Amino acid sequence: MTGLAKAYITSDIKTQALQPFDLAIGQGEFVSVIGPSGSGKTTFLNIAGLLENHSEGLYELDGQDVSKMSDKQKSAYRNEKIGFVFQSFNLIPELNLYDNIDMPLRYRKFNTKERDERIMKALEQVGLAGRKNHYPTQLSGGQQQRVAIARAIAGSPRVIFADEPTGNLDSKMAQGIMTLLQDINASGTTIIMVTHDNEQAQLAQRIVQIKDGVLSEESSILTQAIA
Amino acid sequence: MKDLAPIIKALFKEKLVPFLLILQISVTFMVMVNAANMISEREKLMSRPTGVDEENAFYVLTNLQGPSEKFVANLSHDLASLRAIEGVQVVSPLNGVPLGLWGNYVSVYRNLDDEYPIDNAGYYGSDEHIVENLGLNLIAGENLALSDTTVSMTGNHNISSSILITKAFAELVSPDDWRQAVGQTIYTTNTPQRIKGIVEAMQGAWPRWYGVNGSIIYPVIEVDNTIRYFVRAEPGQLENVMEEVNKVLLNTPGRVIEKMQTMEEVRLRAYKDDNASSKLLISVCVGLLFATSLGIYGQARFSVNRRKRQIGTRRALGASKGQVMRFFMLENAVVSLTGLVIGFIAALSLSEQFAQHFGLTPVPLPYLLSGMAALFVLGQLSVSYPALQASRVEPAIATRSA
Repeated sequence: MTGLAKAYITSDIKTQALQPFDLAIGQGEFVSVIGPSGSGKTTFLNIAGLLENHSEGLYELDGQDVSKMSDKQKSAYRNEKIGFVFQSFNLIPELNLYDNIDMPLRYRKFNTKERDERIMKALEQVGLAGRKNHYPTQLSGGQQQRVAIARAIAGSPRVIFADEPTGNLDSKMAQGIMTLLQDINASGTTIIMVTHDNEQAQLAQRIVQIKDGVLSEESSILTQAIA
Repeated sequence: MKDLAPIIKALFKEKLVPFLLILQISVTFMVMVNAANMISEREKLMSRPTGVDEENAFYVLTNLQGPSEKFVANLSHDLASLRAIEGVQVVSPLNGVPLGLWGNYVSVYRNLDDEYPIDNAGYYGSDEHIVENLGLNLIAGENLALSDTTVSMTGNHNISSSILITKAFAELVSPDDWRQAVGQTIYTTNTPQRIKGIVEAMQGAWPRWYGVNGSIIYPVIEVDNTIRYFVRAEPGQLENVMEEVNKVLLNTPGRVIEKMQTMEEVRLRAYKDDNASSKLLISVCVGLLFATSLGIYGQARFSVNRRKRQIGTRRALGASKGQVMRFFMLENAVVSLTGLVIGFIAALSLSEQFAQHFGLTPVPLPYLLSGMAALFVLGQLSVSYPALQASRVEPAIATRSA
């Protein structure tokens, strides 16, 4: 991301949500994005996750200039290379766990066998293989977030964007989710996590802070460790 | 189609809303196809030919003045005066008009001493020119001749003569071969009548009468104090001729013109109730289709609004705009098809009940299939705009706070 910025322009007013910034994230990194409410964290995540367009600057994802991608290409890119974990889990209540995880895989035209293998592997990874026929409402918040993580990892994405993944969970459940994310990261998947929890942010290798739309690199655990 | 299985599972889970929509679609379909069948039946009924050349034709009901001994002379005078009017093609005295709602019928016997008649038949009396003058189609036997014609002062048909019958009645007289009815003798009011010829059609006076297509034409001019003249005008001259006929008849002192109606008006009046009920049924169908279409649209719109975050999540997880739109179209297609299949069974069952209790023709298969196709397309059109709106939901909505 070079000189990347986001402004919302209406007929009366221009709101600069993100001031121009430069940021590079390498494959396999675990980056926390912290900041107070309304600081621009989610806007940053939306832009980085191709959910929203940036207003200016250059954003290259996996070597591709995203501003040149069509909406359809972005959809395909999100489906294949990006996983999302949302604060409210965003599971579909009418579908059971299996079908929830299956949903993005269906868009990808995997055959039934491959989908089944991926779903079961993901469910096993989050420890919910025995509950594949349950519906989201039959699970606790922590379990629902595990399903959301399973849905995110089933497609073997290069990067997972997690938006306040523990925001709706108690500390015990939150700890479990963080461990799970760390395990996923350890297997080589890049994780970019937006959080307002400093303690959890510290578990990442890098911390990026956003305040009033200004993005700055706060610290790096690796750097600290070396120091 | 890859969304089909999850859609079906989700609909089973959701139950109530899809069930109500399915119910609405099935009821609409059931009512619509049966109503369409009834409308079609009525249209067929109303479009049956009377057998008479109705275009440019009218009749006038008037009186023959003076003492009864002058009726014949006055009739001849009237006929001569009317035939002299410019634009008049033909004029015939006729004791009633097809579908006129006023007429006569007779019981027809095969033998004089038979207890039961062959059937009842509509009865018309006119002169020997009736076939040409009314534009009837003689399809077997011979036409009436001057020698067949009688003038009846008593106003009845109790006169032995050569007669014409319609094909429909010939089929009753000679069920094996209607042509063989020619030359046979039948009895009406204890009087033998020889069948001289068969005309293709000449309907009776009452459109809903079971024997409307079976008529007998007597070459008997009934002379009474009231008389009907059937007039055919030159093409395009109908209005002028009617005006002139009115004037000419009123030139005679004491003349009363009771009624003057074109055959088009006669037909409209005869089928007034059928026309009204057809229109009512059409209105019901349109109303039902509108309500169903609105129901599908409203439900889809509500569903899109309710599921905005879910749609955003689908988009975030990789669904393209087209895939989101197809999802909603497919979801509606599943609901519509389910409703239509149930409606198909219900429509068949209702049709059977109508056939059993009211003698209606069962709904033909093409009606059912085309009705299904039409309602399916309507449903898809109704859902297309909400589906388009769904496809426009931004994926970023997935990250907004609930």
